[in-house]
Amino acid sequence: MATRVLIVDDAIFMRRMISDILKKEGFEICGEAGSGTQAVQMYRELQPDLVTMDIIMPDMSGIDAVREIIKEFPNAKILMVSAMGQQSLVVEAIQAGAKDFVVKPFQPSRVLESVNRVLNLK
Amino acid sequence: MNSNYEELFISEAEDYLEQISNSILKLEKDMNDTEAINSIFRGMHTLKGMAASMGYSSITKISHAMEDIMDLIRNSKLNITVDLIDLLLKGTDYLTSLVNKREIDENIIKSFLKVIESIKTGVETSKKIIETEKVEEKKENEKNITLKVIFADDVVLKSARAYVVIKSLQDKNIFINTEPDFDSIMKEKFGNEININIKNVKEIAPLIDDIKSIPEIKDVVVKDEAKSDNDVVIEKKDIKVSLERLDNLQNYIAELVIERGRLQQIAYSIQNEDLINSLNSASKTISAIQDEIMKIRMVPVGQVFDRYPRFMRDLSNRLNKKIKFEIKGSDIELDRAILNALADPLLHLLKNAVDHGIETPDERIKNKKSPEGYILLETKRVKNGVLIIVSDDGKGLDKNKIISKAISLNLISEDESTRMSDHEVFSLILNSGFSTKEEVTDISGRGVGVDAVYNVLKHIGGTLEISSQTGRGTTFILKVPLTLAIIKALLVNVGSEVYIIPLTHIVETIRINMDEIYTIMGKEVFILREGIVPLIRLADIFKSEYNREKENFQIVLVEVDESLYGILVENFVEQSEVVVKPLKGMLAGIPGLAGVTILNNGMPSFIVDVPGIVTISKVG
Amino acid sequence: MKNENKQFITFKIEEKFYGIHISDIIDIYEKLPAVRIPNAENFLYGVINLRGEVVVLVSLKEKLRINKKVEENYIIICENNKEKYGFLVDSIEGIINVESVNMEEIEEGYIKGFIQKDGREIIIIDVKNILNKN
Repeated sequence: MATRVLIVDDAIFMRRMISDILKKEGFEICGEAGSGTQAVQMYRELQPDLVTMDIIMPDMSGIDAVREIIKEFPNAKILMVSAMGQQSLVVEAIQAGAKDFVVKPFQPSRVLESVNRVLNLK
Repeated sequence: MNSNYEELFISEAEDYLEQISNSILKLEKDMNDTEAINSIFRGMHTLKGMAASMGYSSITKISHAMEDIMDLIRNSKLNITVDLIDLLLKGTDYLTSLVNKREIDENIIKSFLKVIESIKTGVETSKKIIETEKVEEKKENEKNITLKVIFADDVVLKSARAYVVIKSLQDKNIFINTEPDFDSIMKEKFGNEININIKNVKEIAPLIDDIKSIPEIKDVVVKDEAKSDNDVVIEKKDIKVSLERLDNLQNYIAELVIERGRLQQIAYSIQNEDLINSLNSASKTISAIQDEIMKIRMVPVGQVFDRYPRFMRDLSNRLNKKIKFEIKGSDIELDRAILNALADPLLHLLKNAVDHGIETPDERIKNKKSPEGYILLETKRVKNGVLIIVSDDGKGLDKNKIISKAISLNLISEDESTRMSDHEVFSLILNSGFSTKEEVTDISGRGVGVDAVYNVLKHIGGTLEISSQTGRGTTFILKVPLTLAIIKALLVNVGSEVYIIPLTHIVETIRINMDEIYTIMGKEVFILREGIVPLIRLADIFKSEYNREKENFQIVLVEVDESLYGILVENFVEQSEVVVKPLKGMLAGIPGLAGVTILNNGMPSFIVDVPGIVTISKVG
Repeated sequence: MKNENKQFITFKIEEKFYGIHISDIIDIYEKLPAVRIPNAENFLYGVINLRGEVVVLVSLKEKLRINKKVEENYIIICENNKEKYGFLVDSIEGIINVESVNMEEIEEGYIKGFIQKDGREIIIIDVKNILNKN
């Protein structure tokens, strides 16, 4: 069965890019969320194998979404998608339970490296 | 011996001796501090080797003897006692003297070596017994492991990346600490690698593979303890550069920066697109070099502060005071020239704290205080600079004594003294020639008071604040700029003259009409948001010619000692970065001036000493 | 007096001839625009930018208490305690060679002595004292 991924990003363009990279490698995109609140809701419904999470989003930030998800699902595997210059936010996200991060603009290979590592974590 | 090496030998030997002396002090506090024991041992060992290759026999002998002692301690064949600590310190003193070419009587060295020899033979005889007692009691399993984590060259968000590694070890409950410390790592203050100390694990290989699978990690290696001595030598890619060379380099760059400004002006005036573009990229490179030099000049304050514990220990012993001395924030970095300038003033404040601040144990007990006094030297990073705080929990400054002294020195009148706030009273001791302790002790030295400290601070563009509570202690807060050389400033003019006001003092700028200026008790003031602000006409302070009767003026609102002042100028020229050149020779000590620079138009211009002109305006 | 060759740069201040020993002089410039030094003593005329270095100009007329009628046109750069200073003079005359100098200390030590050359009296200035003595 293909690995199921939930993509969270307020920019449609970014969702599209990440989903293209992952689809090419045989991942199944089980859902796309445009905000933190939506991400938490969809996680509950879909319980995907992996989440890619943008940091800055309207209503609930990616970090708060990580906190919410980890609270309910401590083993959730979340990969943060950050922009340059958001170092402290990334650290905060990892503290909150995200497993790794990639920095925009990114190479597909770099995204896949992180995705694979996060999925291999016990 | 080749004198080319001599300089290098002295400077390195001094470093080792400082490290040794600090480790001895650590050992005194915690006699089980194995890290300190090892550090002393290694230091002596290295020093011995260095001295031997230079042919310095006395240094070689003493360091060899002390290395032997440390080896015995290391192998638990010799117990650490207070006497032994003193002996170690004494030996370190001898070595320091010898390294600095100060002669020591041969007999003193001989008797010292004899004492060491007797300790060694004393051990030798009881060796057998001890050895049977301590049958391989080595706790091999409890040894920690140090992992060296090397990051990829193109790592982005380095701190966050390091944190991913740390977090993964924390999740496994084996994380202990890092080198450099966690805070430095979070501030990206590390090179391409960090060391992480972790608890011992049965199998290290899977753990290493696990860390290696984290993106942007180039390699992970276990640091071998046995090899660590060699490691230090190999990894030490640092070289020593004299401050003078750095100063030269910085001056050249400063000139380049000035020239750049001028070139840019020309380029814009002739509107040559190519020239402007090429200048812009050259400009970026110049800024990068400038940044790099600034960074090279930055050193952790510990480099100087680490000398103090030894000094404080000796001093408090000599004065029969019990003192706990603590240094915090010694990893915070400061320009080396500033740090050097502060070394003596701080020592003086610390001396004062021991000598005048902290009471004798009896006195303290009488006042229901712990017999042991506490002195803290803390460094904190703040916006635009660094705070260095010297505080003690001693008896505090004597307000009445300061007031009566100030009256006798004609600094204030009796009448004025009744209206002064605590803060104002304490600030009186910054006046030159002020010292409350009447008798001159050999500790605090003759003629050097807090005023001397204040002068050094003023010179480097810093400020000094004092707070004190009777019976509770005194705190000196030194605010110093991070670097000396380049400051952001506002260029202002009065008449045909241009002056420079450093942004650090500026709160805001205001436009004012003539009719908004009032005179109260002979002093000009203006109203700002319902507060009365004294007005200082820069032209009057500097006796510049200008048109007094203009319709409106510009005001630079500055803050000095928590009070606002308005500096009246004719116009603002621009905000700019200026290269500060210190006032030397005949320019030194001219009131109201803090430095000089060369403007983009090639003309020199003086930098205003803002606290200085506030003082002048009060007197004048 | 030893048998060493003595060379002096000579210059004019208010119609009188003065000289400074050549080893005391680093350079000579035409007058450069100067910036006034506020709150400084009168003899400190101002500062100039000399190839990126800020150099203090010293008014010899103020130091030697000579009434100023003519505007100075040249700057003689000398060094003292590793700092450069510029002396303001009216005009540069030339170089003279002499065998001996009549060394009388007069005028608070700002003047080293006098030389008679080609029917002129040349007053030799003591650079160190001018810069160090008040």
